[in-house]
Formats: sequence, C-alpha cells, structure tokens
Amino acid sequence: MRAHRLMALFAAALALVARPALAEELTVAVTENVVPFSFRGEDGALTGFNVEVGRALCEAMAATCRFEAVPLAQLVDGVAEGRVDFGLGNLLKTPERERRMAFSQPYWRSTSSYVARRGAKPGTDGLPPGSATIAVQAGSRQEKHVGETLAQNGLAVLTAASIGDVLGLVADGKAEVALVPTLAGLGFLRSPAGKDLDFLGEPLSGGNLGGSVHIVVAPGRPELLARLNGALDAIQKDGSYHAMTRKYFPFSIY
Amino acid sequence: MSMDPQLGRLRLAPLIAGAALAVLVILAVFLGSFLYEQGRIARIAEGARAAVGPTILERQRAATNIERLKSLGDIAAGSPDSRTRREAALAAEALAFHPGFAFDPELQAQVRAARRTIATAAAGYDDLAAPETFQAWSVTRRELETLADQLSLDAAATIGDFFDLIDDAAHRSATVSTVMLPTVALFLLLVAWAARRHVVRPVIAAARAMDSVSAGSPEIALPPTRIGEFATIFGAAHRLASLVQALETARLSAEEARQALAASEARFRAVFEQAGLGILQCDADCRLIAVNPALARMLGGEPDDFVGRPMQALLDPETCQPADLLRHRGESGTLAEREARLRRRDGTPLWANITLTRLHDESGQQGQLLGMVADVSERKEAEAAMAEMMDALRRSNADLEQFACVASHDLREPLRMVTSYLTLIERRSGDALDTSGREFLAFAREGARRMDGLILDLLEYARVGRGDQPAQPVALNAVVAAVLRDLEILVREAGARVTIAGDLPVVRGNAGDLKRLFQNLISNAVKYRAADRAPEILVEAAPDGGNWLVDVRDNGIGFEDEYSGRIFLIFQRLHNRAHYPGNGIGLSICQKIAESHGGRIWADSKPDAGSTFHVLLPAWREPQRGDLPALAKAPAPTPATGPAPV
Repeated sequence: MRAHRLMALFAAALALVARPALAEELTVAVTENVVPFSFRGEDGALTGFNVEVGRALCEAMAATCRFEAVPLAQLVDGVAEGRVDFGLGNLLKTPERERRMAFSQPYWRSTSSYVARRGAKPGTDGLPPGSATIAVQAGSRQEKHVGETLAQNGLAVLTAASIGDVLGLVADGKAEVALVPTLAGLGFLRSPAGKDLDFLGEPLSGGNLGGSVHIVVAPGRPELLARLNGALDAIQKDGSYHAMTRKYFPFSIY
Repeated sequence: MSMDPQLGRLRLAPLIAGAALAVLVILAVFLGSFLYEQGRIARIAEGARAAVGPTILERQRAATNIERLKSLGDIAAGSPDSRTRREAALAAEALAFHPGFAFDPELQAQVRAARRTIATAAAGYDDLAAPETFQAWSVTRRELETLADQLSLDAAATIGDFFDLIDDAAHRSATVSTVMLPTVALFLLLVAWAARRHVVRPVIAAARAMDSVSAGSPEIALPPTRIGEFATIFGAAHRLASLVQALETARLSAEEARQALAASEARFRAVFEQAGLGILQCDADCRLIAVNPALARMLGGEPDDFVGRPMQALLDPETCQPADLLRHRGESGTLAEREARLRRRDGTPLWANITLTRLHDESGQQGQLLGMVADVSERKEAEAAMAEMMDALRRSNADLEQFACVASHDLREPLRMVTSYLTLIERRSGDALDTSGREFLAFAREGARRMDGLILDLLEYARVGRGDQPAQPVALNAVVAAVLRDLEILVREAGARVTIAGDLPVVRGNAGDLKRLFQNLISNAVKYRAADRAPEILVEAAPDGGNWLVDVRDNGIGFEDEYSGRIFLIFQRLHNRAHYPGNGIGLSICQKIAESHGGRIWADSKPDAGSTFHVLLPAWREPQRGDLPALAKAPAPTPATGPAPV
C-alpha cells in the first residue's frame, strides 16, 4: 500500500513537471483598436501587424499562444505582473518600463506625430493656436510626454484606451489635437474615419517619442526572452517579417 | 679523475628557469600577438555584426524606402484620385521622418525635402501649375534615384571596407604567423639544441657511465660540463668508478688471498694429515680441537677420539703439568718445548717432544695453540741404553785405570827392588866380577830401567784422556807457545824452525792434555828430522764445520803411507830404538787425547818428504743441551800395519 502511494505521488510529480513541455500555452497581449497593428477585422477576428508577428513568433517557438486585445495600460500591467507572458503594444524602451519588465530586441522603429483637423497649422509650440485639449493614449509614452511638457501650460489632456479612441476624440472635436505614434496615426488617417484629420507638423522623435519598438516580456522569464529574440531573428531571416510589413505598411518600418 | 671546478660554474636550476622564462616570454609574445590578432579579427567580426551588417542593412532599407518614396511620389503627383494622392502624401510624410534615414542627416534632409515636393504635387494636382509641379517632382524623383544609387554604392563600399578589414586582419595574421612561427620554431630548436647539448647529452653520458660502472668497468668517459649539478654528478661518477675499481682490486686481492689461504690450508691440511710428526690444535682453554692422524696413531686411536678433550688428559702428570707447557718463552710465540711423557689410550706411556706455539688472532689477542708432538720413545730408550753402557764403560775404565795404576805401582816396586839389589851387587861385588859378569849386570840394570820406563809410559797412557775435567775454552796459541818454551833447548840444538801460521783457534777441551798432544807432535817432528836438512815445522789451523783442523807439518824423514795407522798403536815403532829412542807410546797418547776431546788424529806422509799430522778438534762454543761427543766429518784412519816409531 505504501509503495503504491509513493508511485502515485511520483507519477503526479512527473505529470506536473512534464506538463509545460507537453503543451506550452503562452498568453500574448496586444493593444486593442490600433490600426494596422492590432484590430478586429470585419469578421470580428483579431488581426493586424502585431497579431501576425505574434503568431509567427509563437509558431517559431512551437508554442500555443492565446491572444488578448487589451488597453495599453492593462497590457503593461499584465506583463509586469506576469499574468501575460509577453505583449506587443508598440512600446518604446524607457528606464521606468525596464524596471518592471523585460524588452526584446527591436522589431520596428517609430516616431510620434501630432494629428489635428485638416487645415490646422502648428503654432510655436507645435500645436494649433488656441488648443485647449490634447488627446493621448492612456499609459503611453505620449501621455507621459504631454504630462511633462504641454500640460503645465494649462492644456487639458484627454486619455483614451486605444489609438483609435484617441484620434476619435479629435475627429469628434473633443480635442483639438492628439499625439500618437506616427504609423498608428497614418493607419487612422488612411481610414474613412480619418478623412478630416491630418498630420500636424513634422513627426517627433526626441523626448523618447521616437525610437525602437520592443516586445515586452514578463519579468523573470529570461528563457522566454531568449526564445523570442531567436524567433525574431528567424522570421526576419525567412522573409515572413518582410512580407508582413509590406502587407500592413507602405514602406519598411524597421 | 677530478673535474675542473671552473667548469661547474653554472647552475642547472637557474638555467632551466631562464630557458623556461625565455620560452614563456617567446610563447607569451607569440600568444599575445596571436590573441591580439584574434581579438582584432573578433572585433572586426563583432564590428561587422554590430556596425557593418546593420549599416548595410540600414542602407538597403533606406534604399528600399526611397524606392517606396518614389512610388508614393508618383502616386501623389499622378493619381487622379485625390484620396489616393492624399494617402500617398501622408505615407510619404510618415516615411520621410522614419528613423531609418537618421543615420545620414544629409540623406534625411533630402528625403524630407522630397516629401515636401510630393505633398505639393499631391495638393496641386488640380492646379494650373501642375506641369511645373510634376516637373519638380520629376527632378526630385531623379534625385531620389541618385540617392538610392548612392546608398547602394555606400553599402557596396561598406562591404568593400569590411573586406579590406578582413584582408588586413588576414594579412596581419599571416604576417604574425609568418614571422612568429619561424621565430618560435627557431627559438624552440635553439632551446632543444641547448637542452640536448647541456642537459640531455650529460644525462645520457652519466647514464652510460653508470652502466659502465654497473658492469664493473672503471673506465668511464664523461664530457666536460659547465653545469654545476652535472659537474657534481660526474665527480660522483668518477669517485664511484674509483671506488668500484678499488673494490675490484680489493676483491681480486681478497680472491688471491682466499686462493692463497685455500692453498695454504690445503698444504697445511696435507701436512696435517700426512705428516709423520704429531700435530694438535687447542683452543684458548687448552681443549683439543684438532688432532692429526700421526698423533692419533701415536696415542693409539683415531683423531675424533681426542677432539674435545682437554690437552692435560694426554699428559702424564708425573713428568709434565699443563702449566709447564703454557709458560711463555719468547716473542716468537713459541711456548715451552720440552719432553714429556704422554699416556696412550691403553694407558701405556709415550715419550714425546712437545713444542707449543701460541697463535694470535687478527686483533693480536692470544688465541689457539698449535702443538708439534714428536715421538722420542726410541731415542729415550737408546739414551737409556747408552747411559747404561756409558756407566758400564766408566766403571770398566775406572777398573782398568785402577788396575793400571795398581799394576804400575806394584810392578815398579819389585822392579825398584831388582834395580836396588843389582846396584848393591855392582857396588859390592863389581870388582869381583869379570868383564862378562859386569856386562851381564849392566844388561840386567838396563832392562830394569827400560821396564820402569815402559811402566811409566803405560801409567801416563792410562791417565790421559780420562775426561774427568770439565771442557773449557783452550786457546791453542797459548798451548803451542807453552810447548815451544818447554822444547826451546831441543829445538835450538836441532836447529829447527817452528812456524805458526796466523792465529790458532780456541777449542773446547783440556789444556793439559792438548799441551801434551802438541808437545808429542812437535818433539816427534824434531826427533824424526832428516840428516841433511834443518827441521822446518809449520803449525796451521783451518775451520772445518763446527770444528778446527790443526795441522803439524814437518820436512823430516817421513814414512810409508801404509804405516799411517800403525803408528798410533801403543808401543808400535817404525825405527830402531838405537837410532830414535822411545817406547812407541807418544802417538797413542795423542790419539787417545784427540778422541777424548771428540776429535780425531791421522797422518799423511811419504818417506824423506816429511809428514803432516792432522788433528780435528771441536771449536769452542757455549755448551748446549744434548751435545754429544761425536764428530761426523773425520776420515777414518788407515789401519796400522807397520812398526811403531821408537
């Protein structure tokens, strides 16, 4: 009897140890409503550049991935707290973020741009004269930049969970201007919802508003980080990454 | 052979340390150069990975995006659809500010200038100035093409530079290898040569020397060395070879000594086993440890019957005690030599002469005793028989002497009576006698006188050579001188000349008897002189073994050789008493004296050619035990056949 108990305990322990290897399932978070990075298509399915990159990475890692479309702030918190294995939220590397999570090697490069209604002209501060409200994505680097610079001049800051919602505030006239990632803004401007909007001034890269974009990984997962970097190299070498950029962007975004 | 100390000034440890340090330095330089070049190549590779590759990729992506920008410009400038032109212009706006052009500010400025042309073209499509705008775009488009070409050229140049770096690294690596490898190889060869010359060869030489020494050969050949340790080793090898040689010499000597000892032992054993003389060997406690067969036969047993017994068990305590034999007698180690009576196994006595020698061991301590035992039983018996004979002879001589004395005295008494009465007859009746009567009376008185002379001579003959006087040293010079003084008148009247050749010896005997001997010989030489010449008498002596031969030579009348024995017989004469008076007893007395001294007398002569009387007398020496009155080298006298001299 005692031997049977020991064998059963050993089998259970073996099953616990072998379980991740037999069927590894990773939770992948993407930001919601960010055309063309991650958005739901006409059929309601989650799609976009980041979604396809994420799937290609999971395939390269031979992992089963479960994608979640969440707001940027929730994505950051989920990765930082380990509830999400890795996230593709177009995140720039900042010291604050590096303290909370791990960053992969860059997989594309970004700038930030002001978006305002067509015909608007930038003032001395880069905003349309008389602007009282600016919209930014909650938890984004743009929100932090606005909070550190423009908000001190009495400018009201409106935040939204997604880039689409941020630019919708400008399109709806709730904000005179929005500060968003250039490629996300380009995607919105090229859509019907953005037909009345336009870039305001030249794209910005200073003040941590531009730079390389990384996949964020839950802290304490160096093996997963290494596997992700290896998968990024693999999809770049096999041409699948290049095909995805051509699919979603009019030029090479790396 | 000793090594020159000047050759051993260098020490091995510092040399090895120095060589090792030099090797390490050379290898470190080579390794450092190699590692430096490897690091340089690694840095080039890392630079290529970190800079060249990204640089090329960056330019390729930039060139690609310029092509995209050209496409967007074409759409913006030529598309009839305003939305399409707007999207193209927006994309061109985003593209112009993409960080992908940031690596080259001039390129970035040209691209941003191009996006303004595109924006202008897109916005002015419906304007009257469109041709100029399109023309401007065409110019910008060619500039973009030039930029794309330039980017391709830059990428190619970057690749070329990269290959130049690789070539340079390969060249430097080849140079390092070309220079350093032969240098290191040459240095290692130099080190190997030096190690072989100064380390390996001395070690091999030392090993061969050790092989030679092990094989027993003292001849070893070692090269000169400047290394102190090898000098020490070589010196030790030479000393070892010397020791081996000394040991070999000692071994050979020991072998020779052993063989000599074995031969000596064999000889001793042969002597011991086969000698007729008895030999015994005792330990320090006088216990017999060996008895040879001869001694065992003497004692009536086998050698093993006596081994282990004390030596005193062999002695008859009535004649000898062991302490008598063990009394030390001299530095030669010989102990008492004496005659002792032994006891045979059956208890019968055995007279033996025993000589013991104390043997000394290697440390000089007295140890075993070696004894020689000679069976002297027969000699003892002979000596006893001789003693008995001598006693009987002595008694007989004494009786004869007594008889002679008594006879002479008793004979002379009636003779004196006869002479006295003959004298009375002549004195009282001489005148009454006629001539014949007086002549007869004279004959009777002459006969009585002659008889008295014969009796006196006989009495003298009996008295000489009695041997009752102890032997003494007698200087013949003094004896002959005394004789010549007594015969001075006789010699002078005869005109004789007596010559003594050199010194006469000292002999052992009785001075009075010897004086009588030489007096008889010299007086005979004068008496029997030739009528036609003056007597020449020569006395000379010569050694003869342990004796002296004294000759008395004259030039007298001589005699036939056949009478050389007869002349020594008592009362024998060779001549008429009327010519040569005498009773014929002088030479008999000489013979008795010579023989009583243990000597002999004999004569050589020829008629009218003189005579030589030879007297052999014993030389004087200190009396020794066992001296016997016998002489061996005297020719036997010729038997006397002729008449005795008168």
